[in-house]
Amino acid sequence: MSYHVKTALSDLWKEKWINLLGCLSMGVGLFMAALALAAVINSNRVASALPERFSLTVFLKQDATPADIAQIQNALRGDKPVKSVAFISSDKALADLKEGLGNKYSYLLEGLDSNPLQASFDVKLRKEYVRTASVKALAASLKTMSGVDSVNYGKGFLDTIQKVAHAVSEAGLALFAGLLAGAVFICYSTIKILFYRKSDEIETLKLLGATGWFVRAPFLLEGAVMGFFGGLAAGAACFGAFDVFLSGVGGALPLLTNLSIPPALVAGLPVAGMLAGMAGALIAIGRVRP
Amino acid sequence: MIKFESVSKSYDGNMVLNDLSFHVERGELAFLTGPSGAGKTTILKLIYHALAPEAGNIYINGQNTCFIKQSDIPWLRRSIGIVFQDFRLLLTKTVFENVALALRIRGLDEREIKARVMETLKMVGLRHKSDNFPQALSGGEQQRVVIARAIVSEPMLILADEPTGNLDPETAAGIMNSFKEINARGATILIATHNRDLYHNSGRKVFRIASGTAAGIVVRQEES
Ligand SMILES: Nc1ncnc2c1ncn2[C@@H]1O[C@H](COP(=O)(O)OP(=O)(O)OP(=O)(O)O)[C@@H](O)[C@H]1O
Ligand SMILES: [Mg+2]
Repeated sequence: MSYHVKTALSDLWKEKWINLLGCLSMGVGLFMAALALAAVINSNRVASALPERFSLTVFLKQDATPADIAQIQNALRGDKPVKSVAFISSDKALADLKEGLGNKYSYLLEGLDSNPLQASFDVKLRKEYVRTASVKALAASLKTMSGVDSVNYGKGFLDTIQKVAHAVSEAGLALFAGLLAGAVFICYSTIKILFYRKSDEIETLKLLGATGWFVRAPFLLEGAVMGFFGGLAAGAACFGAFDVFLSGVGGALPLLTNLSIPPALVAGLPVAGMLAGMAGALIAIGRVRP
Repeated sequence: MIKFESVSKSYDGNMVLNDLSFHVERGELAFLTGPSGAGKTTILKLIYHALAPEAGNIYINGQNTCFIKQSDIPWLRRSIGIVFQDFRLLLTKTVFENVALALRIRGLDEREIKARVMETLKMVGLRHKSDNFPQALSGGEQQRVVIARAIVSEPMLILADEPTGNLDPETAAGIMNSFKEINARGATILIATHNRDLYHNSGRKVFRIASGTAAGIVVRQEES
């Protein structure tokens, strides 16, 4: 085992309480940073994947010719994301409405001398294609076809979801950066304490001809170890917290069932912790003057 | 090897060394003496560049260390073995590790470190204490560990600040013999001491720093 590794490990052990505290504090910081990042990832996913059984209604103009209608239908059938297309004539729409109102209110519709309802296509989309961007593109292309009056797909709903997701993303990323900086700072202050405690020893090393890196190396290793285990603890906490969350709140809201903490994110925590630890240690020691 | 040219040094405005000049030739074993507080330790610190002079020039092995680059200071110090007056042992490391440190800093490999440290510890009579921690040693034993650390790397220059301060006359004589041996193999050695026995009748150069008002004036003496 190399001298620096030995020194780092024995120093870690000698100051185990300070180091444990530093490690756990870094873990908390990294845990919260991971949650912030998970929020960003999940909000983006929710915004891009629309609710299942999402449908789109294409309203036809009153003067749409049968040729127009056939062309629209063909276009829809040929489109990959489209699962099923149902044509609803204006007569059928009126009949549906009557049925919906029931006998009690059917008088409301009496006295209409012409049918005011528009014919439409009810379009169901395949689940795997239900993405905000593709729905928007489909709607836009349908709108340009002759005979189409309007396309209704809950634009307001989609826009709101996207706006919310955007806001969550930005806030989450800012929080993530802040918390990561916090983890670096915790390591910085812990290593600074160790560094001051050993300042006499460091002075001796320098008088014996040690270079700056010889002096720094054990501290860098200590920072790396502290960050690594902090990250490991944070990763474990992520899994635990998420299980609790899903079995509690998550199950109640269907929208949340496809939330997840990406495994890659959890796996990255120890690495991120290690880098944060080394960065903190480097800043703490700074330039070692001979 | 060591050359001071009109060197002045003061602490917080109190002049300790005033216009000091002297030189030690390569391969010499010389002594630096004078009363307590005269400035012996200060002179040694100037040599290994823990202090810089306010005026004058200091040459070590031909290099003017007043203009040394920061990054060259570790290399200057690696060419010097220092016996510190206050020992500067690492209390958290064993005797072996303390001595080995001088070699680790110089980047030697583990096998050579082990062999050289044990050999040097044997030379100062502390082989059996290699796994002890400094606090479990007597003052004289600690001093010998410091001496071992200074000589283990076979530096071309050895500075010893009161190296026999805690030793009985017999052990002191033994250490002096080791210094003479190392000197005979080519190292330059400068020993700061009040111990008259060390230099009396040694035939070596003695630099005496006068105290009080004459501070800074060095008297060169030859003794036989
Ligand atoms: N860091 C310092 N700050 C202020 N004054 C100092 C400092 N170091 C030494 N001095 C003063 O400088 C003078 C010379 O000190 P130095 O240690 O060089 O003496 P010395 O000859 O080695 O003495 P001794 O024989 O007691 O070891 C003393 O008067 C001391 O008080
Ligand atoms: Mg002294």
